[in-house]
Amino acid sequence: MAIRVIKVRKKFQNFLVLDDVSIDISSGEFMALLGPSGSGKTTLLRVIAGLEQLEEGEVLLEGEKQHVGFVFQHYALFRHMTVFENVAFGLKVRLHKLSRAEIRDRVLRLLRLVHLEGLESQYPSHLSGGQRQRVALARVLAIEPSVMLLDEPFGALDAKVRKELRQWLRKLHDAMNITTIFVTHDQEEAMEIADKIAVMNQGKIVQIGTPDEIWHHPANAFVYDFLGNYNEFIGRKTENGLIHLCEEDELPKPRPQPIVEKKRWFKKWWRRPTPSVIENIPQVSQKYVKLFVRPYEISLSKEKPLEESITAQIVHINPAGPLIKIELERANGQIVQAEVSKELLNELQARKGDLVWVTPKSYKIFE
Amino acid sequence: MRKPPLLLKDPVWMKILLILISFSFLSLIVIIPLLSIFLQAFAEGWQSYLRALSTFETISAIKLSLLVTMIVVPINILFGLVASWLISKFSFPGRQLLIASIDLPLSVSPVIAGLIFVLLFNSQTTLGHWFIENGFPIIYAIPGIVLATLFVTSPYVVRELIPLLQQLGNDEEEAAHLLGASGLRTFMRVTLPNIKWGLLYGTILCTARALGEFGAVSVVSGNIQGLTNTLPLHVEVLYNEYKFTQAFAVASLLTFIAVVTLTLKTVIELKTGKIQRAG
Amino acid sequence: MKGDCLTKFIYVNKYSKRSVIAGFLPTLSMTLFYLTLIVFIPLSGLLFNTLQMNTSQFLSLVSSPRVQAAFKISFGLSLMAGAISIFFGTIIGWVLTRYRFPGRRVLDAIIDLPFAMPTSVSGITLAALYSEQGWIGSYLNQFGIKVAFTPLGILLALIFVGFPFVVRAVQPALEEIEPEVEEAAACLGATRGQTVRKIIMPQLTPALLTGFALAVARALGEYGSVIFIAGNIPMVSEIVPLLIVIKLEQFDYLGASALALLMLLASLGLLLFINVLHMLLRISYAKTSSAA
Repeated sequence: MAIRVIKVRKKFQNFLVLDDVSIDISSGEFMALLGPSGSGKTTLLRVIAGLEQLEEGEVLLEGEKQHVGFVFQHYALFRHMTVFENVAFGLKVRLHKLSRAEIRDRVLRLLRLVHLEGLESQYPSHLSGGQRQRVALARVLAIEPSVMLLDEPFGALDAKVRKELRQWLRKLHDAMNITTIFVTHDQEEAMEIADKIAVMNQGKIVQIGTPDEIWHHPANAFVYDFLGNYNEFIGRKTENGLIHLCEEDELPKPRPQPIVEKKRWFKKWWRRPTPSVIENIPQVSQKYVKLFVRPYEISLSKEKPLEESITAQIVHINPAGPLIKIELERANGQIVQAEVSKELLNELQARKGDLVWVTPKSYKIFE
Repeated sequence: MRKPPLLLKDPVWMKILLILISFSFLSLIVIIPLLSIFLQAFAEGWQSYLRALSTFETISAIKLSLLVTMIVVPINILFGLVASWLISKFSFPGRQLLIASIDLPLSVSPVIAGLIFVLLFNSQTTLGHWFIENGFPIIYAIPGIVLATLFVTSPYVVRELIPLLQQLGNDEEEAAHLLGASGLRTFMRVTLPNIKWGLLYGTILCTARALGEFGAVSVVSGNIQGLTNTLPLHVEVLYNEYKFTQAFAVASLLTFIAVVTLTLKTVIELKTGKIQRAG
Repeated sequence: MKGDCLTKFIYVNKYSKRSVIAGFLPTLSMTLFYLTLIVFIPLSGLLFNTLQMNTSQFLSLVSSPRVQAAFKISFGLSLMAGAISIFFGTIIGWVLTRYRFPGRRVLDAIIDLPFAMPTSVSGITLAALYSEQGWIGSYLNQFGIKVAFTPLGILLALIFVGFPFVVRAVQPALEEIEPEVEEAAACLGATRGQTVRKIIMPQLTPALLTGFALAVARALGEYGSVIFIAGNIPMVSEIVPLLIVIKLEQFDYLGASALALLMLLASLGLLLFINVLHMLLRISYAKTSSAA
C-alpha cells in the first residue's frame, strides 16, 4: 500500500467534514475521489497532503521521506516568478541541492514534457488557463514525487481543454507510474481516466471500486443518482417473482397528505422527473418496489410487448448526439427519459404526440 | 511512515515576538503619548482643567476654529460633489491631470500651503496691498486662514466620492433620465442616496483636518491671540509660554475630537463593509 | 468669433452627449474655477515669485551652509524615518492581518491616530514625553540617550507621522496573497522561513515601496510634529519647513519661496524615482489573479 488513510475524522468549526474515513491506495494506482460539493473530497486530499490537522486517525505513507506533489485547483503559481523559476522552486529549496546546470536541465526537460518549451521566461499572468495548469504540473513533477495529488485540476478550464488535459494526465501517469489521486465532481471525468473511484458523500466514503463496478453495481441510490440520469418507476411483484410496472390505477391510493415536490439539481439539458404520486409510496414493501432505470435501458414499442408495460406519450424528440433522446409523459404526469438508437426510432416510426409502450430492459433496486 | 502536517503557520515563538514588538512600538509611539495628553491635562485637577478651557483666548480659539470649519467644509463638500461627478461620469482630455491636481494639496507641505497664500496677499504685492487698503486683509487675518484651510482640505471629499461613483456606475442615472428626470433631480433623488456613506466619511475626514490643521494656518495667521488663533495654534502658544497644563488641556480637547473622528470612521467602515470583520 | 463658438459647442457636445448624463459643462467650469482660485494661482505664485530672484541671490541662498544643513537633515532623517517605518510598519501590518489576539481591533484603529491628530498636539506631546523631565525621556536619560532637542527627536516625530502609511499599504497586500500559494510552497518542500522570504516578501515589495514613498513624502513636509521636539538649532536640528517659516518671519519672501520651490522639486524628484522603481516592478508581473 502506498498510502493508508486510517479512520480519519476532521472537524471544521463544529462541522464534521470527514467522518471516520479509511481508504487504501496501492502504489501506482490512479484514483479519483468523486462526489458533490461539500462531500469532503478536497479535505481528504488535503489531509493526505498534510495540509490539514486531524482530530482523529492518521495517514501513513510507504517508505522513507516521501515527496508528495499537490496541484491546486487554481494552480497557485508564484506570480512574481517566471515559469522557469516556478518549476525550479522545489529544486532550489530542497536540502540536497542540485547544481545550477542540473536544475536548468531538469526544468527545461519538464517544460518540454508538458509542451511549454519556449515559455520559460514568461510570467504566469501572460499564460492561458491550460498553460498555467501545465506549469503547475511541471512544478510538481520537478521534485519527482512518489504521490501526486490533484484538486479539481481541470475545473477552471473549458470543456475541450479539459478533455485533452485529462487524457494527457492519464498518459503521463502511465508513463511515470506515479501514484495519483485526483478530486473531481465530474463523474464523466472520473469514469474516463481513473483506475479506481471512491465516491464520497457528506464526509463518508460511500463506495470504492473500478469505474465498471461502480457503474454496474452501485452500492446505493446516492451513487446511482450521482453517476447519471435515470428514471424512477414503481413496480409490483407478481406471483412468479417478476416485476411489472404499475399503471396509475393499479397503485394503492396515496394517503391523504400534501404532495411534496422534491427538487433535483439539473444535469445537462434533461429535466428531472418529478413524479408526484411516487413520493407517497413506501420504497420497498411486500408488493411494491422502486425501480431505477437508465435512459438507455428503456425500450419503446408500438405494440404491447409480452410483459405488462406502461404507456406514455412522446412529448419531445432531441435528435442530436449518438443516441436520440426522447422525452415521454405518462398519464399520471411523470416524465420518462429514454435514449434509443437512430435505427430503432426509424423502425418505430414514432412522432411527437404518439402513444407508445415503455419497457425497461434492465433496472436496479436498492434495499 | 506517518505523514506529519506541513508547517504552514508561523511558529509560536515568532508570533509572540512579533506581537510584542508591535505592542512595544505602538506603546512608545502612540499609546503612551495619547494617555499622557489626558494625564498632563488633568495633572492639576478638574477645576484647573475647566478654567484652562474657559479663558478668553481659548474660547476665541474655539470660536475661530468652528467658524473656519463651518465655512470650509460646506464649500469642499460642494466642490467634492461637483468634481467627483465630473471625473467619474465623463472622460475628456486632461482628466488624469485634473485628478493629479486635485490630489496636489495632499502632497504639499503644510508650511508651503500657507506660504503660497502669504506670497499672494502680503502687503508688498499689488493684490495684497489692494485688499489691505480696503480694510480687508487676507493674511494675518481670518480670510487667509479660510483660504489656507480650503487648500489643505479640498481633496478629502472628492477622493472618497470618485471611487464610489465609479463603482456605482451610470445605470441608475441613465434610467432616471429615460424616465424624464432632470439632471438636478436625478442627482438629488438617485445619486445622493447611494453615496451618502462615502459623503459622510469624506466630510468627517475633511472636518477633522480643518479643525486640526496647524502648519498652514500657523504660517498664514500671524498668531494674533484672541483674533487669529485657531485651537491648534493656541496649543502652540500656551506651550511656548510654558503653560503646560493649559496647553495639554486644550490639546486634550483636540485629541478627543480626533478620537471621535476615528470612531466615526470605524463605524462607517464597518457599516459599509470596508473592514473585514475579525474572524 | 463664430468659428470659435462653434468649435467650443462641438467640443462640449462631444463629451457630454456621449452619455445621457447631464452636467458636464457646469461641473467642469465649477471645478476649474475652484481649483484655479485655490490651487493653481497660489502655486504658480510660488513659481513666479522665485523667478524674480536673480541668479546670484539664488546661488548664495543655495550655497549657504545653513540651508544645505537643513536639506541634509530634512532629507536624511526623512529617509531614515521611512526605512524604520518600513521595518516596524511591516511587522505591525503582518501581526494585524495574520494573527488573532485580544485587542487586535483596537490596535488597528489606533494606527490611524497620527493621521487624525493635529500636528501641534502630537508635537507637544512627543516633546513633553521624551524631554529629560518626561516619563520616557527621563528613563532614557539614565542610559545617556537624549531624544528631545536632538536629531533623534526629529526622527521619532517623523516615524510617528510616517509609519501608518506603511501599515495601511501592507495590510491589503498581505490579504491579497492567497493561502494556496503558501501551501504550494510548503508542499514543494520550502521551510516556513523560505516561504516567507521567497514567496511572501517579493509580493509585498510594491506595497512596501508605496508605503515608503508616502511616509517619506509626509516626513519631508512635516512641521508641527517636529518643531517642538527638534530643538531647532541651525546646522544641527533645523528642518527645511522651519527655515522657510523663519525666512517668512524675516519678510525674506524671495528666500522663503526659493526654498519652498527647491523643496517641492527635490521631493517631487524623490517620489518620481520611487514611482519609477514601482512601475518597473509592476511591469514584470502584471497584477492579475492567478485563477484562469
